[in-house]
Amino acid sequence: MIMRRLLRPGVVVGLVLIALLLACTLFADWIAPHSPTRMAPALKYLPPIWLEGSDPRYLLGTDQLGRDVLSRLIHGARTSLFIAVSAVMIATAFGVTVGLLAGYFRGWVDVVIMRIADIQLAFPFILLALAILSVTEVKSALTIIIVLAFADWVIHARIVRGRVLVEREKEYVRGARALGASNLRIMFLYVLPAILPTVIVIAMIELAVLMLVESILSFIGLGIDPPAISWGTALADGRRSLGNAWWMMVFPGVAIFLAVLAINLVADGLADVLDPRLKLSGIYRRADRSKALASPRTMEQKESPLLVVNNLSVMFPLDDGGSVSAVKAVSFAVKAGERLGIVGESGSGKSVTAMTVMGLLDSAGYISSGSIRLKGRELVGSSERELNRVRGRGMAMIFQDASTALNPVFRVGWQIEEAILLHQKVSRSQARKNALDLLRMVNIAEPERVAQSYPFEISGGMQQRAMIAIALSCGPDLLIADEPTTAVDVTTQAQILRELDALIARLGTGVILISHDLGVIAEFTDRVLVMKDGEVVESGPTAEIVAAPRHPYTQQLLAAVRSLEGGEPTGEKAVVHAAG
Amino acid sequence: MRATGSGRSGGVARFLLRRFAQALFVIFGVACVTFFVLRLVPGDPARLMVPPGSSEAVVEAIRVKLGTNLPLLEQFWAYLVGLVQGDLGTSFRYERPVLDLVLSVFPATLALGGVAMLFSLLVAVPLGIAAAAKPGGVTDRIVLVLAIVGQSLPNFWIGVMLVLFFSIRLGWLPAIGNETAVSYILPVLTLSAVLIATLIRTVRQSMLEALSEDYVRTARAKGVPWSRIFFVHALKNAAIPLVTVVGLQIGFVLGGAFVVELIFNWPGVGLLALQAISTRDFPVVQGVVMLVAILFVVANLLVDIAYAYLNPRVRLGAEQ
Amino acid sequence: MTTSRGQWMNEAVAFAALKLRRGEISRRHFMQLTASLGAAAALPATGAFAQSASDNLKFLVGESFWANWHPYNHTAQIGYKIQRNIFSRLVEVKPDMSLEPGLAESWTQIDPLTWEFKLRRGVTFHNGAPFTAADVKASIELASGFVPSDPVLAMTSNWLPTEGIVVDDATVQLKTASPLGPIINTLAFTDIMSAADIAAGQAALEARPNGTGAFMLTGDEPNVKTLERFENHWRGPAKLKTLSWEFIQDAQTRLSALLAGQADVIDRVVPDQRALIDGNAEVRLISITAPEIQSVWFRMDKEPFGSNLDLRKAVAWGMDRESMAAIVGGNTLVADSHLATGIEYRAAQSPLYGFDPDRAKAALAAGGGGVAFELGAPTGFYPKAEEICQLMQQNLNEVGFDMKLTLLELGAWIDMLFGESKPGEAFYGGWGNITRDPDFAVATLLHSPGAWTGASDAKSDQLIDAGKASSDPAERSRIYGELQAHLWNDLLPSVPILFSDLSSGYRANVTGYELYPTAVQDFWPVEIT
Repeated sequence: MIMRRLLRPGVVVGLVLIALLLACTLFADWIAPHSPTRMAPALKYLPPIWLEGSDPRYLLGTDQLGRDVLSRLIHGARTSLFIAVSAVMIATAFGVTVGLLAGYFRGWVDVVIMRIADIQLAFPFILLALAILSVTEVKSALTIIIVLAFADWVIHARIVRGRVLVEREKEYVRGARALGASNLRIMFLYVLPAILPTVIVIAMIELAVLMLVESILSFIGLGIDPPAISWGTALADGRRSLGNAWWMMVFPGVAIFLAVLAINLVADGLADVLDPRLKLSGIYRRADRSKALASPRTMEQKESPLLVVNNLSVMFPLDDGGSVSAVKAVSFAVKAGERLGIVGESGSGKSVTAMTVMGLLDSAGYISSGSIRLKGRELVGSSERELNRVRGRGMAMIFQDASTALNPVFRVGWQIEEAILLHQKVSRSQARKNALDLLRMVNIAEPERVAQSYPFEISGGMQQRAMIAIALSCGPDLLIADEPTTAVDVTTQAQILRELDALIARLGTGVILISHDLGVIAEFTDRVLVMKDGEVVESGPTAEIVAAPRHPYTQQLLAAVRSLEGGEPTGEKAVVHAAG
Repeated sequence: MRATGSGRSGGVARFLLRRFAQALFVIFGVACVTFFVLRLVPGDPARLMVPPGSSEAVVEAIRVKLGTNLPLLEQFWAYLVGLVQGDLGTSFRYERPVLDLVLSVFPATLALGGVAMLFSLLVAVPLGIAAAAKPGGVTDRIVLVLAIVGQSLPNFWIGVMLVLFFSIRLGWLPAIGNETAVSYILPVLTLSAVLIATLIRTVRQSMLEALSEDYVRTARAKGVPWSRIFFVHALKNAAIPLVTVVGLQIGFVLGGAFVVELIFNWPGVGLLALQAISTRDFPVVQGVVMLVAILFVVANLLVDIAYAYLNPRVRLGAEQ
Repeated sequence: MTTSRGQWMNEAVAFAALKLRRGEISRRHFMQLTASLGAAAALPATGAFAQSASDNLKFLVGESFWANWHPYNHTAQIGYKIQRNIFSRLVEVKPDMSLEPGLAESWTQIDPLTWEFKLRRGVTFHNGAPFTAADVKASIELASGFVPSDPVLAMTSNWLPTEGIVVDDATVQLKTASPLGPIINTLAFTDIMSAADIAAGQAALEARPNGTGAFMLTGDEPNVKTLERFENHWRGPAKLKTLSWEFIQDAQTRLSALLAGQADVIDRVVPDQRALIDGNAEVRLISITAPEIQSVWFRMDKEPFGSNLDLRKAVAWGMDRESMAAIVGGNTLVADSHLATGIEYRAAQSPLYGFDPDRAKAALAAGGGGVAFELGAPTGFYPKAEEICQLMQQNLNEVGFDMKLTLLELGAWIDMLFGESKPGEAFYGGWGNITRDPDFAVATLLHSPGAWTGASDAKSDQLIDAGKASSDPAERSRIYGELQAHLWNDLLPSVPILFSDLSSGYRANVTGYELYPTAVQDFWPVEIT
């Protein structure tokens, strides 16, 4: 499966080019048609084979000393690659070690190391390289490798440090420390393997960078001394002879470009596979248009329920081309003012159902069949613009984690006002007043202060209330609450639920309450849907279901809840903190 | 989560003060490193100031005049003292104050780098946003290909090729110097090529990440149209990491500017430094390095200020 | 013949063309302007910076300017170049390297030690001071070391101490301590300064040049020197109003600038670049063989070459000098003597040391077998030096040497050559004559003590001294003939490789520009049409 993700066209191209590069490196002596250093001044500046005046023995022409350009390119590959790889390896080894130390021990170790890194970053590298290389008498491969590694270690150190800072707080590190493992052990046996994917990807990227830097240095005249050849020195030669032999500059340039491109392509592919967190390639799969059947959008009588979901099926495509069903032929209805609960464990499809109703499916998912009608209006197949008119006004949603659901860079008041201004024709100042009223309505003590605050400045409970305020701001007919209390502590949970209950009762809003917690469902809903593996296994009035569940799964759920409440531990844990 | 009320204004001041102190430290570090690196490599500036073959006595006299015969630490101390007072020393070769010399050519480099950075942002930000708008779509693919190609090209090669076509073959654009506005075109293009590629990816990346955040889902649930989600909700969040990357790129732009100055004979600090190295004019080299480092540090400070402004968490001094 | 109105129109058109060239107006605007002037101005040909009449010439040079303006204390070619246009001398070098009267209208030798010069009247310095014999006296006494300076000025090594005797304002005698054969040629590159300036001290001389030349220095930046026409120049005002010199190290960049129309004349064109120049109708190339010799210098005061003539001969036979000359191309010639083309009394020597690996191997064997040595070569100055040295390495290593090639930028090369520890055993270097006189070619390189090659050979020294002391052409011819033969066959302190090609590029509308083999050009007659 990984191979398939890895073998994207870009990556394949990159790998092929790299294989070519390696072949040149390893078998240069056999592949190259001529000696790269043999000078034959009488044959200088022969053009490539397809031009007039060329010599068929020299495919890509000759340089200013009659040397074969192609052979020099092939041998140059070896030097350029060798220099870049060595430099990257040294830089990585050094940088990773330093980054590990800085990130793990923090404190003054971190400060010192990071300041040194800052100093180095502030230093114009070219100048430093110039100062050193222009005065050393011999520019051997080793000198250049050292200069390049010197420039590069900082990048690795910084990135590794960042990762280590995060990793060291994780469970497995804490656990190891609790077990008494030594710092060294933890660093190298626990943390390092965890960050290895990042290290590898960054190393590849820097490899490409250093190949370019080596060519830049050669261009300014700081390249490796002859008779050694690198692509960079070939470019420098080419520039001096530009008027006579454009091929001397073009082909090495193309070679460098292809090599660097290949490395970048493979690095992207690796990043995608090894460390999606890096999201370098960020290739997003194209969203399929909803394949739903378009149903006639007829306005039906008021008598019909607020929301009718009929035979809804939602699929998600997989990497290998197939798809998985997240929701299978689900049907239910919600009357105006009614409260419907949807309960099930994670993976049951309850959140997906809710998202689908709102039209908020992750771009990969699609509705394969079914219909969703809100107040008689068909939502499946509607455009985003049409949905936007319904969302917020006809139906609204509150989410599980209020701290991430609110935009961190806008004030709370602004976020509420926006909802109001979108759907109602009021002035700004009116909207502001309405927002304050809403905050009062959700029992926030100092509405002015909260409205002026950013989300991170208020408590979790207040964030959740703010979200409720946003959702209810335009008086929606339907409110969907997806695990609204999971992220809050128990006392606040009860509080919020009660407040919500009061609000809804007052406003007459229909509610779909999604939860894994049967207790919550039991207390606040009129009817309940039990979902498992994308299907509705049982549905009916809450009181009945709770009292006498028919489906074995529902019985399990109830039993789990009771055992937890009853204090007797059972083997099963049916309550899982779901992520929808 | 804690409600803060009192930490609001103090947070910014403390943050910036800390960054400022760090900046000073970095500049001092750069001064030290430059000084010692330059002097510990072989090459006697005095010998280059007299006709070749001059006697040792003549060379020694120059050394005394330049002050290079003094012990290293003494020279360093004098340098530091001068530095604090804003005196960067005197050029060995031209006997003019280094500060004057460097400041006289500095605006040219600044102009080049500034225009390149601006141009790159103007091109990269819209392209990155367009790519992020429809991930996997045609625009996205084209933009990604452009980006990866741009990052793989050696920028000096682009520069030389551009000169070959547009200056020599076609005669449309000047090959050297910065006399007219038109002379900016080729150097800026050369300098920007790689920068644009990097920035496109960054913008696209940040936008995509922002778009995948929960608050975008909330906004959609509110009925906010896509264009507004893009340009208001996501962009403001995406700008934060972008600003950081821009700061980092400033250093690379300055480094790239040196090579561009060489190709186009742009009369900036890069050329000055290159020549100063050939003639072992250490004070000038030091002066250029110091100035570039200061510029880099100041730019990053500005970036930090922008970051603090954009990110309320930092601005209001919340603890992470 | 132009009427004043015609002249005005020409100037107006020229002015508009200048603006167009600088991109300050658009082509359409230019057409409108010139149409309204009623002048049928030819549309500028190609490019945004096409040719136009102008009195401002931009000259790009490839050597960085010397650190100060003292004319007597350097050996930098760029110094002599720019001084040629700022100062005047008693005699001047012509494009064919012969001499013509300068500040001196005529001269005669009174006795073996004394020459008398009749000076021009009515000449003024840039600062308005009149030129008299006293100025000649002060200048020559300083330059020749008659008036001692501390440290010793570089120029003195070309002179013997010479006393100046003022006969009257327009007559001066120069009396050397011992006979100085090259004296007239040496005067051709000894700039005449004002006695008052000299009296003001060395620092004043270094700060600012004040001469009687066609141009005055008005702009002094590290890499750009601006000269402006001196209206009271004794030959009459120059055609150009401004002459700006800019240092651009990279030959390709200089050429690009010329082709793009951003420079009018460029120095030191690499022969290979001819192809680009030929392809452009607005640009021309002039090219000659210069009296500049590029050689391999041995450290004659160090093993293995110092005491081993066979090894040195092995090097001479083992190098493919013909190919090396071909690598550079243009008017490069294979060197056939230690005195380059154009230098007086030079003669082709024999054997020519044509590429003969077998003979080289034999010489190597005679010299004691394979030897390892290090050769230091400067990059960025002589075109193709790097390539020549690489070919040399290939040649010599095939013969049986083990040559290590160390490429250095100029500063590091100078350091290596003159460093106290005397690293390296051989160097690639060049030396250009600025007059025809052979003494200039050999004294610094070969005369001990202090020879750049570290040589200390009694016979060479004696011959050089003799040549310097004699002013009889026949005798000098005999002496230098003997010297060349001795150097070529018996001493070989250096192996001359080639006589340089000297090429200069200029835009087609530049007239009056002549290429001086000495690379020291006079811009007085130059104009842009």
